[in-house]
Amino acid sequence: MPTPDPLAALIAELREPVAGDPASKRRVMEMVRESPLPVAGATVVARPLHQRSRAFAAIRRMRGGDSRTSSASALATAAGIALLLAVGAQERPTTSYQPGRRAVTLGDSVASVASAIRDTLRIVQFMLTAPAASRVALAGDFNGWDTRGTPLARDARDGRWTVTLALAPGRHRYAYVVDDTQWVRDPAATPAEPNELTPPRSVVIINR
Amino acid sequence: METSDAAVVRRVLGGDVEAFGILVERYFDHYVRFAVHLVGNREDAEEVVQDTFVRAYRALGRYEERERFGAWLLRILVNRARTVSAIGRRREQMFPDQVDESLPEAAEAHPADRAALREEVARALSQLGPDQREAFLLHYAEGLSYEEMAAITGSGVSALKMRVKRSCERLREILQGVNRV
Repeated sequence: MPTPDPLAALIAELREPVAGDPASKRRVMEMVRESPLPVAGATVVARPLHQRSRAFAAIRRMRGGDSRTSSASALATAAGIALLLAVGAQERPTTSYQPGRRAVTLGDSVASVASAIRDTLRIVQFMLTAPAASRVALAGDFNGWDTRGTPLARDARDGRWTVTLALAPGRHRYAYVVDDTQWVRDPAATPAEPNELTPPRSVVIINR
Repeated sequence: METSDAAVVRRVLGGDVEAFGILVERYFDHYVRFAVHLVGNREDAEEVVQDTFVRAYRALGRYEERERFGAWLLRILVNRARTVSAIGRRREQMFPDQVDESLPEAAEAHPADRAALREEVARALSQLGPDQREAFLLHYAEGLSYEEMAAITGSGVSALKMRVKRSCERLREILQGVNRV
């Protein structure tokens, strides 16, 4: 009697049904409900730049500006400032990750304009070009160095990862976390003071 | 009458978020099975599949109906599994004493003979390289053609055929070695 092929038994086992955890399915739907509605035909869904656009639009509405005005000039009128932040770039990039652009301040947030609070928040965009990465997150003193809490969104066309945050003026240290494990400082920004006990970090200074 | 995947996607894009649950019910269990064999443990597999569905939802606007939805989903899953496996390998290199022991635990819930078979399958698959395991599972567990596999993995058909052939040879060696003991 021929010996059964052990590989056939293995393949049969691979095709045996497995029940997924119902809690995992529920969690998927919870996260789906928390996500922005996907848009048909969109190249990238829920990009941070959309948030920026919404902020621009809101500021224009508040100021009664012309919606046909360019975003940058409208923002300059509305907020009084639309400045590129001098974040310094004394060092050339030393990693394989390329700077898309320095972390830049885009203007006052809608919240700060609306409430006219003294400590105005600024909208800051962080960008890293890392086409081979599967996941990029931003960790900094502003989020408790959480390596997962502030993910960047990828633009599939050019491999750029971006996230836009509202941050208080001041000096902030931060780094990018690539694929959950690799700490990468912003190649375009000022490096933070080196410390043997901490991963590479950068500094962004946000003016009032 | 069963609604096609494409029709469900259109409903979701039209604002019916809950319709996405139809796709979750349709594919979740199937891809958990695939992911368990691919990443080697149940916990990571569930996480990979969860992450796959959430990413798929967020990218649903880029889904094109000419592609089979299941294949599109599988492409996302394979990419996520590669990342998780790479992280797992690095973790094992950094913390060799903390290797995941969840496979034997998962098998304990099944009858002894079935548990032994599952454990043997898992151990045999774990001895393949990641590329070989991925190709073998796509071909034999998912029943995909080499052309479909190429579209999902980004590898060439001839390279995939070679990986499957070598993985079969290696698995036979491993399984016969086990059986002889």
